[in-house]
Amino acid sequence: MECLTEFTCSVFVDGELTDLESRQVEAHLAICEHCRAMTAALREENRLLIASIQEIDMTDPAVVPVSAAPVAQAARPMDVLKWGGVLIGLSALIRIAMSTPEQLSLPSIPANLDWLNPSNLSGSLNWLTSTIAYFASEGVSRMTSLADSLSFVALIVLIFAGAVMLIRRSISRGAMVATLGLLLLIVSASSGFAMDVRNMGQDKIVTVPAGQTVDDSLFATGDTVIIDGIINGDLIAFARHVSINGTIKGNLITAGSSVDVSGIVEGSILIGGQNIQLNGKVAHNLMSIGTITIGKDAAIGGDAAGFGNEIHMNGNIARSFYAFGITDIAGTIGRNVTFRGSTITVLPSARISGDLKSYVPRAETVHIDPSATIGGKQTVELPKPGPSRYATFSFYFSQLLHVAAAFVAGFLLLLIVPSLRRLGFSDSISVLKSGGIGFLLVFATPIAALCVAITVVGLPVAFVGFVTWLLGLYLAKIVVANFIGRTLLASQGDRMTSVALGLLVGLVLIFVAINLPYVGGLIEFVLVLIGFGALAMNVYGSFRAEPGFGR
Amino acid sequence: MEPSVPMENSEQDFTAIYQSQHGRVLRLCRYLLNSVDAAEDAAHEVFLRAQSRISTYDPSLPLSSWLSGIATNYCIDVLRRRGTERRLFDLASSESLDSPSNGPGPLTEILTAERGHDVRAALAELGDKYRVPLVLVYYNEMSYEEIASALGLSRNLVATLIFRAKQQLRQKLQKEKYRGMSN
Repeated sequence: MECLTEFTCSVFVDGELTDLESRQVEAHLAICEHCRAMTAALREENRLLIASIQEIDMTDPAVVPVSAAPVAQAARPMDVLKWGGVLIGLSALIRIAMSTPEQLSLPSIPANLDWLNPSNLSGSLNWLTSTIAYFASEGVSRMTSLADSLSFVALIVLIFAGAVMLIRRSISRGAMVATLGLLLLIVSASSGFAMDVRNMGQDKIVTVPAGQTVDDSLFATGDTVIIDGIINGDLIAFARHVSINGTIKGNLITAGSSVDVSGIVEGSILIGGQNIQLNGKVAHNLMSIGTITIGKDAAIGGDAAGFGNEIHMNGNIARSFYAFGITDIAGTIGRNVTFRGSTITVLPSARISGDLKSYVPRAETVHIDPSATIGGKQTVELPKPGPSRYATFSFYFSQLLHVAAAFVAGFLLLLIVPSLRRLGFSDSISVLKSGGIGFLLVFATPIAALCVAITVVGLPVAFVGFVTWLLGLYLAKIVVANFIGRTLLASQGDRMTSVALGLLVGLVLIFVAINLPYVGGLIEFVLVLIGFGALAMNVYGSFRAEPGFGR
Repeated sequence: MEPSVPMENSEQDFTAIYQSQHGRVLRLCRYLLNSVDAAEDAAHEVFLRAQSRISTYDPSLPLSSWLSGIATNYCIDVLRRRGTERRLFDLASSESLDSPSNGPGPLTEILTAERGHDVRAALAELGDKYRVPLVLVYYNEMSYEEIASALGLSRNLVATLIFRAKQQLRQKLQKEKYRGMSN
């Protein structure tokens, strides 16, 4: 009989030959020294292999592929970033340690980019919740008037969440279906039309000429978008130049380096750009990000909110006006004006029926012409000396609202992205790393987004990047809170109750810490940096884990 | 009909199951998916699935193999979703079973118990199509037949893949050995 192949021996040793084959192999082994030695060696190899694989060594980094080429290459820039992050984190810490609070103005950013500097928003880093809390305390009527805009914002957030989840395919299917369902519900409720997509590429122009009617919502991108006709649904337009002279029956979401709205929008407007001109009519609310000029003929039926470097308000706002940035007002405002920022100028022609409330660093930066009309009270809120605010009830109430909002947002986040529940820091080096990366990203992202926005292709990217950045700033503290709460409660489980409890405990502690007099701001700043870095590394990690395998 | 696990105890029971089995499930996912992060997500998902299907568990069978089954199926799904689809377990025509084996023979002299770390590193370097069957047979202790049905392959192909996987593992370990000796 011929000798056995190694393959046969191997299968025999695994005990996977048929009875008949096994008997034949055993018969051969009885007479063949060579094959006996071979099976004995294979058996020993199996034993050692099983022992090696079964051995408990969860910290063994070798289980992560070390030489699989694509992964190794992808890991290298991250290492550079990590260690660069450590260096920057260290130098930032040294700088913070060696400076007085007044000198803490961080790297100098050109004056006209100042509104992008997150540390300059002095406490309004979480402006999102501030806004929510503000309206909650201002009464139900305003809440309903803003319900429109909020559902509008929710639509955008859900679109982003949906896109992220589609990319991250590891997410549980249930959560995905639920979100997409919700998305569809909102889209169908808000427009009732199918979406019409027009993309003319980079150097083309999307036009809806006068006299033409688009019966759907329209999504348009290109170098230039010109709408002279009628859109029966919503319009979402991203282009270098956006010009709207026609009528939009739904909402308008647009971003571009120059945006000109001279037509009629029967819904609300969410607008972003370097140079925004609004001369048309808006039936509901306006929210703008960037330098905006609201022209003399412009009329806004609801509230208006502007975040930007320069805000020029020459038009007519039926309800209230919220301005965040350098603002001048020459127009008419039906209700109140709330201003947060460095400088506000109220020109002689201005007519404000309600109150004018300015939150400014110094009283001299409020310029009000004596011949301007202000129906209500004119108040200037300066940064209050520390302890006094702790004596008011509204302070605690608003903090409670902050915690509640952060809890809801955080719980949803942990529900949708389970891997964040276990996000943590093993040692002080990893905290420092996260802080360094956070520092880089917090300051670099808005500037990078602005640079990208100047090129045409980059506009939507910049918009997405900017919104992601804002979201990240808000979620950063929540991530750290979850880690702190979980560590304190030593909860290992993934049950929703223990996740929620850990999050709540962490959030309460963090909100107490960041409201401490004198050091609270610094604590908040550091926590945001660490959380932002950790969040970014987690997102990076989950994307990195996907490709690179499967070969 | 009474559910097999009383409702008021099921949550406690499940916590106990989780604590005793989580390590093993996580390790299995780590071997199969070759990624720490992906394995943590997968283990989490496996226990969610197990919890929702606890009524289908047959108490006469070992709990660990029931959980391993869920984990195996889930990880194979994940691997398939990574885009390799059907190609995952195809053999290239050049590596048919008949081609003469010119790899090294069994490596008992290298494979000492102290080299567990090297073995795991070499295992992580194997492609999915070799690593997955090898892990299933030597970590999960499944039979060729069970692996074949889990992966949707023929039993012969499974046998070949395991044989080739071991040959590749030997080559990698031997290279490692010579590298170690030259240093």
